[in-house]
Amino acid sequence: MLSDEKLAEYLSGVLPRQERLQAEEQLLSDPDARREILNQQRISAALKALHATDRARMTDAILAATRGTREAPQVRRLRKVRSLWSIRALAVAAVLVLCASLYWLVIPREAARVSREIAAAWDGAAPVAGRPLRPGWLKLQRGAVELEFSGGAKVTVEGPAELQLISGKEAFLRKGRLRAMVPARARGFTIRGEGFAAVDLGTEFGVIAGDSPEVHVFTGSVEFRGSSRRMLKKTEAVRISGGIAESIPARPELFADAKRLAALEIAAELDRHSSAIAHYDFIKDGAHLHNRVSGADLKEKVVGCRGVEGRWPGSEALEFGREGDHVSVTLPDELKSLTLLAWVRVDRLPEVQGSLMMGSTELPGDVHWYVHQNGSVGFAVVGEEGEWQPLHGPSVFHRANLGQWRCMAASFDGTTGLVTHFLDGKAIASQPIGTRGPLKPGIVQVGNWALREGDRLLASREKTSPKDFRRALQGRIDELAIFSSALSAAEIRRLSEAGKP
Amino acid sequence: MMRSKPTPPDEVLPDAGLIERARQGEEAACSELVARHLAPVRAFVAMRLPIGHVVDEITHETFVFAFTHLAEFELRESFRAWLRSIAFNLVRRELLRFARERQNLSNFERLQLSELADNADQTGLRDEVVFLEECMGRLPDTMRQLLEDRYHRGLTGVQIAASRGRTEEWVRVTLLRIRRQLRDCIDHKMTGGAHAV
Repeated sequence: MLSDEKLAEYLSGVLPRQERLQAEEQLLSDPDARREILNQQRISAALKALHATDRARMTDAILAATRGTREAPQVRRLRKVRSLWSIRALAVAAVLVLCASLYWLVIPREAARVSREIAAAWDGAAPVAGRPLRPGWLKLQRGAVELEFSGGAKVTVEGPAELQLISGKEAFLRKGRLRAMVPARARGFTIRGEGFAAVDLGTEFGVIAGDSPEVHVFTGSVEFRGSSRRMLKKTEAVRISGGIAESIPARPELFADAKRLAALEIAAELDRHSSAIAHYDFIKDGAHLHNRVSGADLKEKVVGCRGVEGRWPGSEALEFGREGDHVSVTLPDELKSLTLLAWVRVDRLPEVQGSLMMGSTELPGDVHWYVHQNGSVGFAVVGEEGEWQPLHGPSVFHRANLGQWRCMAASFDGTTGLVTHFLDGKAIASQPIGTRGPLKPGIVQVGNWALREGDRLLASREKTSPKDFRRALQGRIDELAIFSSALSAAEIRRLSEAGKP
Repeated sequence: MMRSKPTPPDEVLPDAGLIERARQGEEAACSELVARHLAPVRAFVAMRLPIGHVVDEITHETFVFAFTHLAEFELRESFRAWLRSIAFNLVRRELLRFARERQNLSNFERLQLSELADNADQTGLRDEVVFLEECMGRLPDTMRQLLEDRYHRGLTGVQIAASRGRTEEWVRVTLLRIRRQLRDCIDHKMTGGAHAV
């Protein structure tokens, strides 16, 4: 059994590496000492938890993750009602069936058709492109669709959005934003929202739903019907706040246009790339992220991270910077080569390093990709001897260019050990590092680093200064793609150019 | 003197009203529920999987799951016990995931992981945190202050040693012994006995 002094040193992580390994060797055949260590770690972790001072942060993160997704109790109540009133319920159901039949006879069979679909993911049944859509709800989780209403209007909706088709000339937007292009024959086409309606008078306009809905007119004019009526002409817009409509300038860039749709097309291509293993557009879904690459069985978890505006007006991104903000992703056990590509907005240079993606094993094959305090970008792999093998690019971030969306990429070619850094599609540094892998990043954190001071259970570390553990990225990420191959410079340039807002 | 087994405080908290309000989507009610249960749930997780960032993730996930499944919660039951059962399932899932996905562990780490999983299974849903808090309450002031400095104020061993005119080693060893005392006290309470810390 180790002495208390030795045990305390071991637990505090101050034992030199060699001594620690010796102690662990000794511990293999000492179950009592192992139990003591485990108990010490458990009590220490519980004391930390009970004394933690970041409760407000945790509370904010939990509330943010569940906002809008908390279930109402109707399910349970309905079940009870059914058991008490089953006979009456059957009678009501019969009437409903009759009404539904009449509904299908009376209501027009077609309100619109999906004419174009770009990486669309639906909540519920996906409409089939080209097939008639009856009046009802369309719930688009992500991607974009173009709808052709039977009355002639063409509407582009970008997810997440919820749109109720009312008829060939009318729809209700509950969530999200749309752009409507209305030819003369469809004059009178109406988009309704909570507390207002926008009636077309031959035009192109956009509508944003939400707490403060907005109507923007790009060409022609629109009759706005809210608490009062008013005509909106080209370049004019209104925002409804507290029931009052205030005038604001129209901003066409807030609504999906041809450029944005082209970018979405390229992003959809990326989902199908033969070596893509993950593609996230950082639309937070509770504590989860959706991996757009089908069939990839990775696990993702979002902790903290405020949802903020992304690089496209109205798009979503995650903000990093508070202690603990991160996205964890479980990558495949072993990767021969790797390309990481992300759209990042660095708002402040980090104190030491700002993690773009970091593993936490610090064992051979672990990978770190980061922004360095001097404004350069680094990519490092732990070599066979346990030493970091980094490649840093030139300093590219400085005070004058912070706060801008940039396309950052790094590739590692396992056949040559060549690492290449890219910024906005251009290679800015390329050199072999002292290892050819294989890469074993394991569970990685995006925007932060898993290790904290005192975490020693499953990691081998010598460092003890709190500063050694600070790796929070100070900024935003709104897209991240991970490939199991080293993408060519041409591919990266194309992805960067197409994705540029 | 023998003491009767204490009733866990969560059994008497009037959570039901808050849960009803939370079900209607009232954020203040959710916030109050988190405020009441965050620290004990976090400590419950920490006792089973003492890895800082994993504790935070599981605690976060526990509350997110609870708030998105509030309709399934029976108001007659203890909300904290329900949170514990959610957290326990998440801990077990995480332990399995660790064992499956961490390929490059040393023999010692592998053994520790397996013992951690055994411990989680043996401890089950028992709430040792209630007893930990009681045991902390019985520590002498000097020891409580030391825990406060280390775990609440986040002072390093060097800082604590300097403020007390002691060596760093003294701080390390004293903290180790306090934790051991707390563990013994919890064990004793779990088996229903009396204990003087």
